[in-house]
Amino acid sequence: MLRGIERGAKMIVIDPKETDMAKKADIFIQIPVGYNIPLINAMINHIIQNDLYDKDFVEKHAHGFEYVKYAVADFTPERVEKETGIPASKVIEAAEMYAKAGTAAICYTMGITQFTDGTSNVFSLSNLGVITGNLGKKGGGVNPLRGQNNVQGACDMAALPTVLPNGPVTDSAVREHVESIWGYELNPNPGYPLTKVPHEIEEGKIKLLYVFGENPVMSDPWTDHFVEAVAELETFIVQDIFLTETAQKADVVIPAATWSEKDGTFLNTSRRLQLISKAINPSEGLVSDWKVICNIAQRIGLKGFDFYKAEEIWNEVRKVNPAFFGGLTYDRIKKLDGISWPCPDENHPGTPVLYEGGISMLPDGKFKLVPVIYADDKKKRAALEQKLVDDLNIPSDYPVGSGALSEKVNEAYPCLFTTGRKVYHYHTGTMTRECKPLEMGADIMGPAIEVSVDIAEARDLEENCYAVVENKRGKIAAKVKVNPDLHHGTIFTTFHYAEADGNELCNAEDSDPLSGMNPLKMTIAAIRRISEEEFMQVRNETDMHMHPSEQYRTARR
Amino acid sequence: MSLPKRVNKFVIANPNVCIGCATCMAACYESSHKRGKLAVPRLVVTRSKSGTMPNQCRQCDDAPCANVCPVGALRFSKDNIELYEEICIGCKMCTLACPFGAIRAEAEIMPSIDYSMEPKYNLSMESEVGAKSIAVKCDLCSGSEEGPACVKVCPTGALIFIDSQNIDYKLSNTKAEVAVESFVQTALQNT
Repeated sequence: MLRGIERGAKMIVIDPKETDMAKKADIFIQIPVGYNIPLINAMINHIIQNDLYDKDFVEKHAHGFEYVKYAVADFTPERVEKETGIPASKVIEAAEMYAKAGTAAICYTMGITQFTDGTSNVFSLSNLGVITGNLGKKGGGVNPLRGQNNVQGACDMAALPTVLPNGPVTDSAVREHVESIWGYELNPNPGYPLTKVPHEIEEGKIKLLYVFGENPVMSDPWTDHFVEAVAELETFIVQDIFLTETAQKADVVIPAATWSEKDGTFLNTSRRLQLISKAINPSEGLVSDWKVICNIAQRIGLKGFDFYKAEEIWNEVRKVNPAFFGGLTYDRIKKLDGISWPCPDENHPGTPVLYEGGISMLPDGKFKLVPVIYADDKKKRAALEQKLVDDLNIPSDYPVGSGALSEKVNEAYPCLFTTGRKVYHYHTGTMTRECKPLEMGADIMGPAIEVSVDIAEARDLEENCYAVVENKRGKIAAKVKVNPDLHHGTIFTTFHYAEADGNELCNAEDSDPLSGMNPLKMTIAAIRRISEEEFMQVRNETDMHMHPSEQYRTARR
Repeated sequence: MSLPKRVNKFVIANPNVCIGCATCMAACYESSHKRGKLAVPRLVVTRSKSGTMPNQCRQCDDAPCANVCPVGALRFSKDNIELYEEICIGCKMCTLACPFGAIRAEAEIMPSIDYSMEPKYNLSMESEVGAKSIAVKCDLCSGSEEGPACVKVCPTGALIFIDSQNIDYKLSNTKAEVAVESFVQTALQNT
């Protein structure tokens, strides 16, 4: 992006925090946490009202323009100004800059998806991309920037409850194809999404949990709830490279080789399959994750797990989903340094730009514009959607989106609370916190609760004083950093540190009706200054909670 | 008459390119650890209202820190300001004198003290016992043949190592040209 700016490209950043990127932007719009849909709808409305949309593209390649036009009619830049104080002129400027750019890319991450209206947020962004004809061309598109090098790969391999590697699990043709290769009959019902797992454990529906390569005690919302739930499991297995906070609560811990010790492939955010080879041999007795799983499957007596190397697994993937991966042989990706799917046969060059020529992957090759509306009360979302469907006679199989705040600040919890990352720590710090140059070098600040200036002033919080942030789900204590870059009334912290993990407070009760995602980026909380003694006390409680193993606590000293 | 040409070398960042990733700080830790110096980063990525860049010692020619150091731990040398860690008494005079906030007092955990009551994950709590701190500042990775580690690892090329050979060109000439150009443009428009 910075190279693009150097070449003269313009950048618009929309974020509750004035990030490093925002400071380099041509337009920065500081929205309150969760205010995505009204802003994007206002931009779409302005673009439509002023005839700035790509009529040709909409006509040839999209359905549902009238639906969207109707749904955004209530959203104006003036309404945004009235509700948030963001000048209408700025919204108009951003909308016009995007619409007139010719080719413009939208990049987004968890600040769009991790809400109860996450899917609708994405609908809104894709509406914006479609009406301006920004799909299917180089440098355009709606691009989710993945937080890990293999999120795309994990989704493509169907590490989701609703899909198989070649399509939805509910589709019988999809199942029959996979059944013909795997030799087992497949359950046609979608499984539970991760966010429902603690609830389903408590209901007694899940008795065994096998976690690998993840630290859900820290990464899942509402830590207390998750920890209580896993205690009820009959068997809890964790496979990881370090004794994580989750592994310390497991009945069985299985070690595995690290990323630099194994062969395989990564599928990155541009759908590009890349080959990696091990740099070092794993320690005595350790094998790759896939080998551990194969060993367990073979011990259970399942057939089809007799792989000798990672390449053989990949060749099976090619058979399971030939339309995407058929032409991606190890030889080719090695020679070409990665190829983007879809790549159906070995003469296909791969598809670095998806939807070229404005042809979508839906059966009729057209894009669907999804009308997205916004409710002032989350309970009214379904009714509003129904009203929209009735008003416009939308067919029942056509998607409709809606949004609302999952929680609103109140007297007890007057601050908005959001989480994020520091660039030098990775997720729950399982690996990066073991790396001395990162832990002791790059991250000299350590865990900190960042507060906006107005919160600091109202509660007598100074830089480096101790504070506790709490809501009905839990509390965390850390040093305070007064951050003028934050939107007013907002508290920010990270989820890298077991000693002050922002996810402890996050909302696990509400979820997106379409994806099941919890609003990890938004909850409400109260903050107050505490003494060093109280801080030590909260810290020690948290430590005991996160690291119940006395042996572990002694060993790490 | 021209002044002697010997000017101190230094590392400086370009805030337009810096993405604030702190890889330089990690490399600095690693470099100082390897060279047997106090293992802490000597440059600190600093976020201000309008931008972000790492801040570190400018190796001032007439350095206030070296002028105030009561024990000669900070010294004028051929092309930079040297710090002799073993002499430093941790008086923090240099911290007060430095106009850039580029020297700070830092301490490593003392090997002779039992920190078992302060586990690794609670390092943010101050030690009851305290530790002997010493001045920490950029030493241009002296002793390493590869030059400053931060410059080498910077993923966007934001950090630049400037020595007396290219100092004029890099720091003043291009800026002077831009200034003259815009002045000439304005002057032409006004006539």
